[in-house]
Amino acid sequence: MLQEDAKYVVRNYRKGDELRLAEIYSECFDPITARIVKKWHRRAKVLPKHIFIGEVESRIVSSVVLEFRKLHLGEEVYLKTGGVAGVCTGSDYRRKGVVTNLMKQALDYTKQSGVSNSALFTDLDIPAHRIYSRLGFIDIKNWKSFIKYLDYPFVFKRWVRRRNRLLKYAKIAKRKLQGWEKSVVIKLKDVGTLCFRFKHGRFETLKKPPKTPDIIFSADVPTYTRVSAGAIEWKEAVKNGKLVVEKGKPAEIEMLKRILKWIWEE
Amino acid sequence: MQMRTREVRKEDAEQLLSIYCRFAKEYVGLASRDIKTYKRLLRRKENIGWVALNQKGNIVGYVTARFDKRKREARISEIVIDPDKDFKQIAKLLVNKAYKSLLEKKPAVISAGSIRNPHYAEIFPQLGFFDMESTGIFMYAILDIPKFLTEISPVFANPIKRLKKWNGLLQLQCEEHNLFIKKQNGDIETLIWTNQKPDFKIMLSRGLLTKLLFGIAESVESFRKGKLKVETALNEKETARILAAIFPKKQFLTMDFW
Repeated sequence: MLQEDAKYVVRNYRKGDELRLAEIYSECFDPITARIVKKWHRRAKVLPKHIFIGEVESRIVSSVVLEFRKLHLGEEVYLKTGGVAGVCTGSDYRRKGVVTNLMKQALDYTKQSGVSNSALFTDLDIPAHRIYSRLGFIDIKNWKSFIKYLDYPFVFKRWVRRRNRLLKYAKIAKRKLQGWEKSVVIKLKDVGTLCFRFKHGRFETLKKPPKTPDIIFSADVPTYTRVSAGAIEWKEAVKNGKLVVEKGKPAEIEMLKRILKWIWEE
Repeated sequence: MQMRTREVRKEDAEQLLSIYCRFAKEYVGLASRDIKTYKRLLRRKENIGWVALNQKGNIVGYVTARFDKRKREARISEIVIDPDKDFKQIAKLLVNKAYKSLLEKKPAVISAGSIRNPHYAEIFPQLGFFDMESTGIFMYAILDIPKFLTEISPVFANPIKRLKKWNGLLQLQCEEHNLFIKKQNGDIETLIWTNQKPDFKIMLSRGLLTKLLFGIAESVESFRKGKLKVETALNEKETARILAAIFPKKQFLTMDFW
């Protein structure tokens, strides 16, 4: 919980908040600029009163956005729903009840506005999912994607570059990766050998495998994609023989799993 | 049936919306759209689309896709087919067109889905796609039960009206809040309250009501497991028939994210 004497305020969006919001969004989701935040609000017709801001000691630490939509519930009945979006909290203020409080305020507002229901999209493997369940949200369905890679080395290079972009804003990741200077060799069936390393606080694609890599593993592309996306657990893939670890200490593998899934909270 | 395909044009917006509205009726979860949605979609350069036309030249289905040149990422966004037509046949035709058109742009990866249409599993693996169960999930909460029950009363009233060989008073009780629907000689009336004994009383939690509405729980099975309680003088077979009529099996589908 927050310290008792900490001044906590919930208010609506004010012009200029987008700068700090962009910082928090970048830490929680994808790197984003204040301009894109404003563009999203404008395009989704989000009004300032639909943006809930949590402020601790006059610093924005959390936010929840409401986007009202109409969803079909059968028999041509379209029901107005309070769509919850952009739920985020700066990493220093997590597990203190800030976002739960903000969500309650947003849902109370939804109810007071005459909207009887709410919906949201989230991820099963993030702590927020538990918060939503506690607030009465029911899991409806997770979705399925169909993927076809045509130039995997290109995708891999972009993936490594994206790790660096994400790392720029990910405080927890930076902390955990401190001193972890390792190289990883991935032998992908039908693609070839791909390598990367983490050195001097940056991820880097390697053109050829290092002489003594720290981690070596092999898998097929679907398995590697599923493990990276959290669709199947690393342990399960190893058990099924679809992913084979040729080299790597358990602690190193644990860190690699975090890098792949990009989930850093315990 | 002979179908023609062509690339989507700006002037197709209205027809695309009309097909979407008809398609949406078959599912639960789809968001309402207006003409602006389609005008915006057709205006953007990175979007491509193909439509299927019947012999009269009317659009019976469409597929939209998006290509990000910098990332070399292509995504087949949505496939919408007139519910009166064969989804699989037309969707295959359109997806093949969109796929070939995307290949010309030399993407590094093509993805499809994010929505869960069971027919996708019959189309994409044939083109060499592999499937991936996502950890992304849609969640729903009923915040105000009395209001919600009033708003969704047609969802129950219409199937009761169509239900053969049954007249009487239905009471749906969700966590102490009630919805009363009376059927007499084929006429349906939603009552605010009554002291009359219902002929069919259903008692369930808001969680189960949500699951039944979105088609992720089955009413008869929930009744047999004791999760859904029924008070009626009818036998088990008749009870199951009425429950199945009130909560028909639905398919959840979502295409719009927020």
